[in-house]
Amino acid sequence: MKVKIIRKDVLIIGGGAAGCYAAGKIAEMSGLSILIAEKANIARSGCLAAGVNALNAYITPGHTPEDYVEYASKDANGIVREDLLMTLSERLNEVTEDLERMGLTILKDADGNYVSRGWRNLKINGENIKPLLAGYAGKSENVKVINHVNVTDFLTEKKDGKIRIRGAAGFGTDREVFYLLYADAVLVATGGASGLYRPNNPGNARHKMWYCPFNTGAGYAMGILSGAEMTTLEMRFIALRCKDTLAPTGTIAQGVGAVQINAEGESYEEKYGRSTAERVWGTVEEKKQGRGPCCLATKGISGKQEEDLYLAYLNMAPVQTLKWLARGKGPSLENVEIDGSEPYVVGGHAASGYWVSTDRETTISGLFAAGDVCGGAPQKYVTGALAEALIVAEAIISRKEKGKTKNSEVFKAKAAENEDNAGLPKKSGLSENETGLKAELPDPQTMSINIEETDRTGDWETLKGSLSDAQAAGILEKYQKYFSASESLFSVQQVEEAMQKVMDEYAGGIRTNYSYNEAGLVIADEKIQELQALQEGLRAHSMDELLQIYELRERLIVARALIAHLGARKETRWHSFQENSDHPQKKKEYELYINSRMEDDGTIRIIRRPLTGRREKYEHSD
Amino acid sequence: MSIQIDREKCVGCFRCKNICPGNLIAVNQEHRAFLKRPYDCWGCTACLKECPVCAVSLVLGPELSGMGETLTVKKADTRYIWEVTDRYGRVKKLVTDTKKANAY
Repeated sequence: MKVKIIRKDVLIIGGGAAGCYAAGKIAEMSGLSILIAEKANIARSGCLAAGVNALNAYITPGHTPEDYVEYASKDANGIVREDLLMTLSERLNEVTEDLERMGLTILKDADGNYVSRGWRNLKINGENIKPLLAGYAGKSENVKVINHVNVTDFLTEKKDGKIRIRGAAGFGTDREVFYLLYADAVLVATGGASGLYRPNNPGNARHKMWYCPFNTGAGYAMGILSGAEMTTLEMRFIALRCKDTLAPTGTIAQGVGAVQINAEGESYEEKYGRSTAERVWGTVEEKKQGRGPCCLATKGISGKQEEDLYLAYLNMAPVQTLKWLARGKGPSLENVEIDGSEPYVVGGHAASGYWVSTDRETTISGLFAAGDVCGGAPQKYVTGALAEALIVAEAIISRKEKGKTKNSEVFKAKAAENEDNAGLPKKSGLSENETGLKAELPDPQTMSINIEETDRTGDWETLKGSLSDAQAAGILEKYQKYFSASESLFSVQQVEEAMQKVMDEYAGGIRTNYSYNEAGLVIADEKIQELQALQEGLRAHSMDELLQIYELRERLIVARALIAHLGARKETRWHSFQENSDHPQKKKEYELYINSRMEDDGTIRIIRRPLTGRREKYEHSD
Repeated sequence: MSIQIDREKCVGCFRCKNICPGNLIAVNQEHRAFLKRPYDCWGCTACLKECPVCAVSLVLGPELSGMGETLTVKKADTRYIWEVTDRYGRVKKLVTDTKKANAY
């Protein structure tokens, strides 16, 4: 067993789109040393593993960033942080051009202009978007990537009543190594949370869901446990998708102009409205009233259109193409049935996540958030996540430059060194894996004086005893507890499915057509706490099992916070996404943010905050 | 959703194990890769694309109204050559190219 201690200027937790891009940007713009800690492998991890069908957030000629803010705000019924949407929208085109420079194929016309699908979408081939972003992050000497490390807890300190980040702790998913990662600037970019609710498919297909099933809400959970403020978790995201495969529908709807029809062949969208939430709600209502199944009317499209759909889906959700071809009936012969997904907590589509300043700093000083884990800015999609990563990169660099007045010579020297290397061929390997772990040598330029160790080997007690950081030793002790627990009566999967059943039945899952009420939430909260007790008693026999226990732990923590948020919004702001059957109407007094913070005693305190303005620069004040 | 790894073809190179976004693949003592928990697979096909000997295929199970139809893929420069074997045993070949944008 080994403890590995690494100290860098910047720690990035999660090497998804936002994490990779932030790493590459910070390296490009400064001499700072960066570490990406990734649960799987940055080349294909997170929600872009299979690819993406389009860039859904781009400002086309004749439109402005304000238009995008307007659109996203209206779609979310006004509960958005317009300052976040504004700063993000202003950078969408810049990051798109960067993606093209990385090698992403974006469709262009004869004059070299991007070809759009509607006024804010670009046509691309997004199959390789993740390997491209990973390559961008990995090309700099200043970026170190550790794949297959599951980060579980933040390391923080409390000073003058304020919480400050010191780093994070985690473990190898396939090796007995515990990681203590220190940095005074940390970016959490772990994605959203799926698997909280009973999923659409049973058995071996339970993970055939739209959102990445390996995004288990780690970032939210770590933040909640460390006392970070969260916002708008109650605005869940429910995706309207191709039935069974949960593959995206936009490509069909917009690509071949297919409309949503019910079993009677009637187009029903107009009846319910066309916001993202209303399109799901309309489908739910039609089914409730006995007019399901609902479909996208594709019957009769041409053979060429059908073939183009096959190819488009291979580039983002290959299982849909497999399903079409499996029995030799494609979308030209049969309409594509659609259905709502399980509810997810995901800040790239809804407004749920960390409560941040305009610079994307969380309420934990030095901890920044970007992408799906960051709240307040729905409809951000891939380019919005990258724009947030760019904003964070700039904020971290400017913070470091300010703080480094004493070490400015070192900083300049490192920056110059970086420039000198600019023309040279860069390191080609994307990352290292468990077979290629190099010994991390202490970097005297970036380490504080009390730096101790790099690698330590020994048994649990020796390792714990060797740590001067009490918080880190406590986390190690927690890991040990799971290995030394007595055999548990239940498996991780059993407790996980019990959680999904509770959320499904009492917190607005598919079973209740997404609606919930207070009486149900009370039961849900009680049962989730019971399941948390069961989760604490689970036993791990391997690092792989420890990973599964922690993924369950994260989901349960997010579930608890979500229940508190759902209860606090005593209105129905978004159909399906937040359908409170005790309060079926929208209320003026709820034009505010529902935020929350976990207290030291484990209770979740609700905080109500007034809406912020578009041109306001929001900073944390309390 | 699940994948199948052909034990005869597998060369035990660890590539699928290293790429899986769910940490779901392991390699056994006979140097053959296997899926640890089939019910946890997302069906993202990262392992299919990574396998140097095309030993991995995606299988459509009954939960998704499938009858064991399969999808395989082979990389050739910027192109992917996909093969779907339908329930009647017919094979359809499709070619995507990362240099070519989607029509939709």
